[in-house]
Amino acid sequence: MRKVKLLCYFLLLSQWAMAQESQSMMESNGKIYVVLATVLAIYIGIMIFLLLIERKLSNLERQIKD
Amino acid sequence: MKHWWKILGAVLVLYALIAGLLIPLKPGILEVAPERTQWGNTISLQIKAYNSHFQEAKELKAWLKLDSTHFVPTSHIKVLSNTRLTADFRLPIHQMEEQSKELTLILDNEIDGYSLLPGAIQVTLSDSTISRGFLWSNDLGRIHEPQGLTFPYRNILYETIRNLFYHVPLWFAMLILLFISMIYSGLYLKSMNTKYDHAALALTQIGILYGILGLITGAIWARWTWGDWWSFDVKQNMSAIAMLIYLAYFVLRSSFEDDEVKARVSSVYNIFAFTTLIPLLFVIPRLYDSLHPGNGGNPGLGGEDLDNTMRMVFYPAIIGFTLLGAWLANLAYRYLRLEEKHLEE
Repeated sequence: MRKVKLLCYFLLLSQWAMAQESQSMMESNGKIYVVLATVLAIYIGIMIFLLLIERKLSNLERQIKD
Repeated sequence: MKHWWKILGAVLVLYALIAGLLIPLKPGILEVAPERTQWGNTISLQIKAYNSHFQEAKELKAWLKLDSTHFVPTSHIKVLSNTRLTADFRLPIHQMEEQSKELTLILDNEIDGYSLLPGAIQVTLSDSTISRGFLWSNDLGRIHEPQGLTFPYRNILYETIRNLFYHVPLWFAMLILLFISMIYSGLYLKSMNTKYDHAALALTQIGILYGILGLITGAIWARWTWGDWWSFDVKQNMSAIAMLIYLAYFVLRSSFEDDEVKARVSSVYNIFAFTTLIPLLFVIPRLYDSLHPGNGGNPGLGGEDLDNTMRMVFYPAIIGFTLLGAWLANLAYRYLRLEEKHLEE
């Protein structure tokens, strides 16, 4: 459930970010902001994976301690 | 140095980010006005260029090209700024019967090198029959190659050509990771050692993370070049189907109580899933027309789409993203092993 929740937050956030950026901004400067959005998407995706594994690991550590 | 490959992966991804974003685009022609004229007219073309250095250049030249032996050299160039100029052309009366022709604009100077805009202006048959005696030239003379390291300039794509270093390597890395995952599944079926099943699971997790990121980055790229988030392009659809097939792998795993049955069935499924991936991503898109380059015909790598400067960043990016993925998979694998050890106790 937590994973699903996190994914929903991510999708909402990216939707919001997309709405904020107007068409003209993405088209400006030779569409360089499209590259920025792409790199950011990859960064966020990898960060989400790290967050999930961090959380699972903390749970396991707690279980081992008990 | 046991962890050298993790460091190498991080360094290569960093290199792909820095080199991929800092190397400039080759100068090119953005747009030209007017779009049409008639044979025999004298026209003044307003030219808007990208990344060019018209004010600093000393040897500015321009031509309109019909084919490899018919050129119209410019009669006068007026530079307005580094990226704007107007060039006058005296068009000859066209002798051939064809009604209208599209001419290619060629610009050249010693700083930017040459740049082309095919179909820059459409020329239709003249209303008047008076010949003004403007003639074709059949030679371009000397043109310049672009200086320094640059990425190719493509209309519509512009700077997003850099996405080749971020969107495409994700898919290549995904394939490599899923291939290794398939080998581990085979090793599990041979030895029945859960170690291999866990390695396969960890690699599949990262492979699918990359696949989903590939779909998202592809959608972002498509929105501002093809015009829509999802164009129902064959390759887009097939990769989405491939992702669903792999998502079923995780569903399958969670549906078994018994660990050994789970490992065995999902190993078999993983091998099948990879074998469906190849026709989905490489065979079917080639059979149909696709917006992706290199489909509906011959392979896309090579030729005009990937020049040597891009290769210099593209190949390291593939290796970098693969090693980074292997690192992430290594973390997931170590977690799975630790969990198993804890459950046994």
